[in-house]
Amino acid sequence: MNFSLLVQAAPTNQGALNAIRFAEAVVAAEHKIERVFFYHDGVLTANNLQIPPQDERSISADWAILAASNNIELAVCIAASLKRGMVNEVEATRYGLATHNLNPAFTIVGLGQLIDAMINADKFITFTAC
Amino acid sequence: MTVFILTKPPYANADAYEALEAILVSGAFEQTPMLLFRGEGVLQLLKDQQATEIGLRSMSKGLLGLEHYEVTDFYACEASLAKYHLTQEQLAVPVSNLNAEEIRNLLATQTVVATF
Repeated sequence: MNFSLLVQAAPTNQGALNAIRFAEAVVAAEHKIERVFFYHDGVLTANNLQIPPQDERSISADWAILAASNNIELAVCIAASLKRGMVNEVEATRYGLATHNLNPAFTIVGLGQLIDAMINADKFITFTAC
Repeated sequence: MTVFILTKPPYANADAYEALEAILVSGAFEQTPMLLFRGEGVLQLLKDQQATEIGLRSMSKGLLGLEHYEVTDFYACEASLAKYHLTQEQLAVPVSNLNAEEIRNLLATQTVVATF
């Protein structure tokens, strides 16, 4: 079965943990995850400057690993990202910012990709902030 | 069909307006989604919100704009409206009130449910 996920929870919120644990279970059950769309504070997951405590999992790094080994698209909403200070090199140049902070495992996309995921996935699952 | 369940208060954070933006894009994709307001989400429905006074965009103006995308199926949880003492004349758009069983039936017939 083909899943797409919507993650609204910030990486420090339990909703983020629910999302990645669910994604790992989907892959373990040999289903496919087409796209994970990060929206609201969920876009902060893609921040490459996070230093989680050593005895806690890094949600950001774990998404990158899961995505690379299972061909999952990690998509962050452009408007929600810009609003929260999340930029890749292209956007940093466009807005004349001194630096960029988007984890290269994540792609900046428009909201159309969320609607596309909703329409085309067999199962569309939302993870809200707790 | 798609239903968006809207549960967030209008101005506590960016979530409610961002949900509205997702609905607009859904409308632009000609999905004509249904909207179900419940919990604090019913507060999004209040008419004549003067959000520019606090430097934000008005939810009620946004909801009225959905008409251009033929998004006109608005539902609200009856119990949530009652909790906030809201009646139809206080709302920006006409809504159909649903009780718990009617909400269950509505959701059971949808192919996609997205909660915001």
